Amino acid sequence: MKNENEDNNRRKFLKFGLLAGGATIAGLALQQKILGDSPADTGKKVKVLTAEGKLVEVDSSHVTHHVNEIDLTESQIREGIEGRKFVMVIDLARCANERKCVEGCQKMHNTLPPIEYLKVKRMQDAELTAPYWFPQMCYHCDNPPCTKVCPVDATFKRSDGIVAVDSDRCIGCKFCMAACPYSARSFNFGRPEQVEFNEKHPCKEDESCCSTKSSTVGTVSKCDFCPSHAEKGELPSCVTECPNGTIFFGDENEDTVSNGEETFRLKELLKSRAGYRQFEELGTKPRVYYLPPVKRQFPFEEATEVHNKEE
Amino acid sequence: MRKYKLFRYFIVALLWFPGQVFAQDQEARISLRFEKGDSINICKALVTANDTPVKDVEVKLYVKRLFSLLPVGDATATDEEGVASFEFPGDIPADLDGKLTIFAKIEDDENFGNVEASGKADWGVPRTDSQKMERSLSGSRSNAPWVFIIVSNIIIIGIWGTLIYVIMQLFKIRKLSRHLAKK
Amino acid sequence: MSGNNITAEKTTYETFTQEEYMVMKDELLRPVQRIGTWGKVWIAFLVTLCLLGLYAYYIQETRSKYVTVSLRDYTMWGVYISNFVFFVALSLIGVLMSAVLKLTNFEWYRPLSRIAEVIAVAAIMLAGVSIVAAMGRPDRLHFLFIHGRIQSPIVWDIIVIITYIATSMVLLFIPLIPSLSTCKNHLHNKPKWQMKMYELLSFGWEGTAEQWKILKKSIRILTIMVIPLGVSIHTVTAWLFATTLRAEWDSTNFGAYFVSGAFLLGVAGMIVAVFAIRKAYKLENYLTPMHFDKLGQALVLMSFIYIYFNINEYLVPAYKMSGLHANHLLDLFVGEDAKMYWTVVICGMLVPAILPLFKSMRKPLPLTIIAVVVVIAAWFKRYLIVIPGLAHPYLPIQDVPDSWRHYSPSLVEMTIVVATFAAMMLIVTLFSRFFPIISVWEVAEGKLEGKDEIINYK
Repeated sequence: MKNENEDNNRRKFLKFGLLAGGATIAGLALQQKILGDSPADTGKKVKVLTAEGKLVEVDSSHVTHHVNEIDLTESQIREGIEGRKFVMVIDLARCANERKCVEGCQKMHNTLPPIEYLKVKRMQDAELTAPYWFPQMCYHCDNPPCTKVCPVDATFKRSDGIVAVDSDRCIGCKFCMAACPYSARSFNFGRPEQVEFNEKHPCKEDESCCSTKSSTVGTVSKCDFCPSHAEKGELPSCVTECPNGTIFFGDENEDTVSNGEETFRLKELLKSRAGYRQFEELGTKPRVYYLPPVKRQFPFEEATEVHNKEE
Repeated sequence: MRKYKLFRYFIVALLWFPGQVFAQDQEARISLRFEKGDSINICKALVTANDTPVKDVEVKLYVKRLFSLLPVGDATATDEEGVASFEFPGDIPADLDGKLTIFAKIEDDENFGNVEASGKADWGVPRTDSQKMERSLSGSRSNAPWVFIIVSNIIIIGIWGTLIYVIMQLFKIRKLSRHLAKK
Repeated sequence: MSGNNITAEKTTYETFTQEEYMVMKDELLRPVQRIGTWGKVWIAFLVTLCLLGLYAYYIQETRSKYVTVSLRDYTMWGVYISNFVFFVALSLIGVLMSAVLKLTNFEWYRPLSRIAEVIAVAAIMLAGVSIVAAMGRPDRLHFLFIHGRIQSPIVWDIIVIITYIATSMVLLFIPLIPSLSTCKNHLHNKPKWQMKMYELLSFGWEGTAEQWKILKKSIRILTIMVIPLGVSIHTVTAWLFATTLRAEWDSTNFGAYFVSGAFLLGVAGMIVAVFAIRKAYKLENYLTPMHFDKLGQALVLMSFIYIYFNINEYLVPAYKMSGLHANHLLDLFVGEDAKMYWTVVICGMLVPAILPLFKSMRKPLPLTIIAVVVVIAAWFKRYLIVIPGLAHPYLPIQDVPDSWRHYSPSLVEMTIVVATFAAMMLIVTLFSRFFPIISVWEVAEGKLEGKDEIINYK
């Protein structure tokens, strides 16, 4: 019974979060006018939940300063961004294994090596075929084997195509990791350096890097397509960090992908460059497409440096 | 010598600035017109500077997308009347509001610099909300298939019901004994 | 003494003499009546191991798991999960040794059934413990009930395991009722609470014909029900693996393969338990060489069934050697894990299939040695099912520290695994010290085989 109530409260809380979010927009315009002055009453009352769990009604102008952006995203975390269907295209001809995407991703998600949500792998399909660099992350499959097996609905598919993880829900059974044929998921075993780093660099509200809270020890995390960026119309970190424009990101509903510099029609790009998906035969229907490494922009060079050697 | 060098720079700067100012003065404007044809849609961008049409200026057409502007067709130069016309493709998906935001741009032109204009047209292909049907989306707890719920409940109730029945039999055994004890 | 209790419908009962019964009862109650020094030492030893395991768990949960546990992103399931599979398999012993034999009228099951059921209850409980030890957030265990998704195989597994625990416990308890009554009437010099417990739990058993009728009916219902339940716990456990897309587990054969392996392990476990109990409690009159002979034959049968499923599981994919499977199969056949793999094939399948074919190998001691080897091999077999495949995923593992590539269980993990074994033996030992481990009435009933049922002893 108690748990049911808690759940209810949480749901209510989220609703108020949304309400408060609405108030923010109203409040922002006002705030610009007042600029630092104590906010004038707008006359509009909103309900908020206090730390003690009491519901109080306050003027919306008071709320604006305290609205937590994370609450907003938390309510959206399960639904997804309306009308979108995110998709990624990786042009293997452009990847030179500069690993800027990996570093950008680690910075964005506050992870330290050797934890990489995005990996760049050296692939060689057969002895006689040419090796190539292969950036790989969660494929946000449309038929995701991971969300099927989750016992508590902690990992789920959103309407915008993103496969997300609710680290407040995850019980750490790691079944999703076993189910993922791409080994895209990472478990937070509480590596001491990582825990210390997360304590020193808590998630900032304005960055809202926390839609995947990699700091929650004992839960699963992975690439989340940076939905907090997408909400603002910004590209994910790996896309913007790549110096060669290897990774394209966009909305399938808009039939467009962009790497920040160039923008293409998704279908045309996949058609003209013979795009494919990794392990199509597994039926997972990934949302990440690859363009084969033909007419390469860089000659393949073996990596001389060994990364992530340290435990 | 050094002094003269500086002076030379000064003169150059003096000449350059008014030139720049003059160039900026020639502010171009783009006005967009959307013409709906029988089979094709035509987007016309009229480029004017000081209310007179400008010819031979390259105009590029874009559609606004979530992360960037999607180029549509090739760059087209304006004609005698200052109009660049584009055949607008009919297969571009509409934005969330069902419309397309179309941008016309003059980019890095030596006379006009960067100019852009935008307008909305109803030319987008309407969205279909196919994603709601996806199997993966019905994977949440609240969307558990009813067959699943019914079958599993029948099994659970059946087995636990039997278990409870058996445990109740134990109390029957006990009752029987008390009956005997009274005798 | 007896006349009153006989009802009209059944008039003729032949029973063994009171003297015969008293001897039997005394022998079977002996382990409960008196615990010797070695018995106490054994219990203390097991308790120490369990406490060590608890301490290891405390360390695991309070310190960084990156340090205490050697699991990493690729091998994220380790010995806890393989140990879980092992215990689930072991718990099928109850189904095989008590239910199947009972329903197929193999009379030699009688002294074995309670031993099997106690092991089943203990094993399934420790399977649960193993899975909790493997959880990243055991503090969120209750989420399974608040947020549980019926679509997830884990939730199925939890449902069947809880049901199986409940059913096995009731199935253990109901045939115990007449024995509890015997304990109540014939044990002496026992603490008051213990006698009170017998009194309470014997449910006023008096052995009337009507009470027997209810008892027998209840046992029959449960015996039938526990068979599909037991098969489903292990099948669902197999599905935990088979519902994923990983090559090493991607098999339609998996449920049957697991169940057959569980039956082999069940027989081997039974042999070890019977031998230990027979020696420790001097029950040679009840656990006879005949039982070892029969169990040895069962071991051969189960080994051949298991070999059959192993051929299906490994040799058929190996024949094709598809790109997806090759990685994992070659690792087992000729790679890093080959030594363990072939040792398990020889010790866990060929030895129990061939050696007990000879009558001399079905004598208590040699058979027990074989069975111990089989049990150990069975544990490593589960290890081989769970772990090597994880280290050989579809996409190559690159750019990771060495410990991410190679898994070898940490001290904490092994301590907890050892503790689960100790806990299982402790449960069985304690049970046998409070209740007769061999069902007095079932054995007595067996002596009257072909006659009618026994109704009138107290």
